[in-house]
Amino acid sequence: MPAVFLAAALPFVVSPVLLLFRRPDRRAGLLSAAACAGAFACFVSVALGASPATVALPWIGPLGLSFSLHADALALFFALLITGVGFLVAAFATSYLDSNENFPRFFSFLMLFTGSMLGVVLSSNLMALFVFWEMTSFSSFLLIGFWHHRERSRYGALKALVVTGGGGLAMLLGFVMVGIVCGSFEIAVLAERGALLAASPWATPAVLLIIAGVVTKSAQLPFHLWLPSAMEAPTPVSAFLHAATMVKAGLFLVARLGPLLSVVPLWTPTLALVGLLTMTWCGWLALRQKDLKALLAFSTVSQLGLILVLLAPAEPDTTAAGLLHLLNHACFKGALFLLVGVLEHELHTRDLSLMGPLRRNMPFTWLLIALAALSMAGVPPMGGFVSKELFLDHLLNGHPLLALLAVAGAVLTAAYCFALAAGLAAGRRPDGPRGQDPSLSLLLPPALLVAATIGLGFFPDQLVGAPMAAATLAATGGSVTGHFAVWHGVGPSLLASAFAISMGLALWWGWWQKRVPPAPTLVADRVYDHALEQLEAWARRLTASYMSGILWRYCSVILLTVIVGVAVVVASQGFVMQDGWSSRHAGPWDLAVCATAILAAVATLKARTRLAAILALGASGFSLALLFALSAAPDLALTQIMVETISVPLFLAVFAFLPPYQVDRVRRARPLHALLAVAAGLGTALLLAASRSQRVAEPISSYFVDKSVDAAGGHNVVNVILVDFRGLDTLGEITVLGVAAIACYAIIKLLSEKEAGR
Amino acid sequence: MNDSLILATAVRITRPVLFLFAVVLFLKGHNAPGGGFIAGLVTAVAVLLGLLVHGHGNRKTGRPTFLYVVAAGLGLALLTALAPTLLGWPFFTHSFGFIDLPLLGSVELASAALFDLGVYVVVVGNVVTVLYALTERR
Repeated sequence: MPAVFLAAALPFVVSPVLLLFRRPDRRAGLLSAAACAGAFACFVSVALGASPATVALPWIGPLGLSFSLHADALALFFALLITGVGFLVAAFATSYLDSNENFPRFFSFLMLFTGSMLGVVLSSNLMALFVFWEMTSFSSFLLIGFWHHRERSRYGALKALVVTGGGGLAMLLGFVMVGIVCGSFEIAVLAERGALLAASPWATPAVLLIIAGVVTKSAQLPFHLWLPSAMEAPTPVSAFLHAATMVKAGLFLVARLGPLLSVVPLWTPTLALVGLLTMTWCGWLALRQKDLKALLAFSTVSQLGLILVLLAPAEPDTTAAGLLHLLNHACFKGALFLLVGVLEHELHTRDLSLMGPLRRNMPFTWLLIALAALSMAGVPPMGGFVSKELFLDHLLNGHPLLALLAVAGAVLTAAYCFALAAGLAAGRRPDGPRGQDPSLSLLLPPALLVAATIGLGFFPDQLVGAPMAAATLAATGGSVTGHFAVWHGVGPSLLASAFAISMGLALWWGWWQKRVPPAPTLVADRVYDHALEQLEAWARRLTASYMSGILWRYCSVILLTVIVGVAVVVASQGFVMQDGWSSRHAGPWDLAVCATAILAAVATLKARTRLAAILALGASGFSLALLFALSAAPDLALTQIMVETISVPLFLAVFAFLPPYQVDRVRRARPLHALLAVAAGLGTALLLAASRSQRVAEPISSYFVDKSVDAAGGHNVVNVILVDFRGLDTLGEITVLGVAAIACYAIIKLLSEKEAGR
Repeated sequence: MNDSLILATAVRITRPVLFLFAVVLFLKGHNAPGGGFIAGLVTAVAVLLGLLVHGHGNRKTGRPTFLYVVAAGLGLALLTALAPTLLGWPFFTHSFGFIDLPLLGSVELASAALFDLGVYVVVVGNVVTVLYALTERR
């Protein structure tokens, strides 16, 4: 089995296994960490060329769908990042979570996410990528809402799902357009068909829709609202999903599809502008947060904007810089989130001003925070400095206004980083525990991440130069001209960097330190809340308009639909009947059974009590079953008998929910009902009769009958059609059955609870 | 809950027969009338008869136990459909073969039967969920 497949499947296998653990069992965390480490090792072996990078997994060939995996250098870069950070986070979470938490569930969700995320980066087919993309949104929903007893958690989880899931659907539409225009969903094939896309009128809407997917997933303006609310998740989740990996799925897509989509003139400028505005505006918002996790959330959004600017042009040099900053950001932001988790755990607060003199109380924790913050601020010789230099270099060569925005963003970034590092060092803690450095198992994972970002500062080219060049080549098809280095010589970018750092220092010292400005409420948040409220109100009104709760109205609507449907067909096609009424002449038995059915139907109408009506209805149903049996359709007959047998007691059980039986209440409407019923019955009969004689193609049934034994090994054609020829339909149908069971259960339970509460 | 001795006795005799009938219908389904859907309905009728006579007994109420049955059936059906992709065949490829067993002679083994088992389990779970939810309300 190829290592790529093994690594991608491992999390999905481990996820359900974890649920078998008992609740407070920490070994669930160790198993997850081991799975991440195993997957990491597999990817390393692929990277070293010891194992094939491509695995073909067909899905639905005729539709151009496959689950094939292709681990090129770009995918491997992301896969190693995901599994590497995943390992550290799983190890951290194992000792971080309180012993009364539900470990199996937490780690099962975490593995589900890891697998989905690996699927996103490894898929070689756009549709498979989309499936995994939505699965990351879904598992993120589960993880944000992990503490589901908290109202804020549920709110944040729902918001994240609505925004990212909705954006994903828009993206699906874009994918379909691209796929139809270019004639394939395989990314490798698409990359060569940019010309087809450029010539198509669908290019602009497709690109806009895909951009919608990117900006929602990566929380860019104006969809930045979901990430701060997602901070209700347990801290390891924030570090893993909402700093290091999931929010970077949008960036991955930009890198992956950039060469194809940048043939559309809209792509690069739109993304670059959105990224730049997000970087600056959310840097400003981050500076105004007192809640540590909110600060980090806005700073993440801002940093994602920076990377987006670099990836948008799909040129080798900027892409390499973007990927380097992406790696840096995963390291320092992942570390910061984990450390803030430690602080929250020790001090029971996330308020920046209430942390007290950390430098004295928790020296190691503070040191790590300060180092990570310095890297984020872009102070030499940290890793953040190297990539931020490249960023400034790129923008200073562009439009002056954009350059100004970029420098402003850098200033704000530096300011909130200093606020973070220095604000925690000093400060006063009024009451509560003073806290102390946690055990090594909690400090080691963030320490490793901090060490990585420092290492990236000193030896960027030696450490990641070659892999980055390979990833860039895989993404853009071009080679990097420069190389990474801390010292680029004195140039505009160094001056801009020095300016940003000193201005940031001044901003923090002169303004922020005196009084932390109050956190603003997001306009986007208010829009979201209002829109959701309105949507619910409309939905309620719309539902109320047709769900009257009056059964005969429902029946009228259904019958009227049948009548209109038949009338439309007859009016447009004309009514032709060539073969006469039937190919099989009805015998005396058929007629007798039909007469019984009709009698039973009349009895149903005449019944004075509900019980009598139901029994009469049952008689009509059993007669129908008999008719099936006479017509040589034993499967139908058996099914009909069983359905009748079950529905009579079901009716009896529903009795308790129904108001008293009143035949007279609808007396005035009776002629109308009779008319509707007769019209619907006659219409259906005519339609069936006509459908026998209006063949436009050879009936497929003879094919089924011929092939049933050879192709499927069954003599019962009905069953073979159900489980084999039309298996997908059946799968859909039993899914509906499952949903119906859940719905029935929920409705009945809600009703009972409401009555019990009254 | 019904105290009728006649009903109770009749059910005691017919229930095993019904369950057996369901098994026969299921196993025969590929070649003769029957199959997972019908067998599921027959099983549900057997469960229903027990419910009529014995009520809920001391079954712990308030938990959607049979929803898990529905989920298991759906999962089985989905896995049967997905399994061929692991072997490089298209989604939903079914296969069948014959093996010789002592006493029974040539027996057909079809992956479609596994899918049919999923259908069976979903149908039973669905009907029983609804029946229990409706009847244990009071």
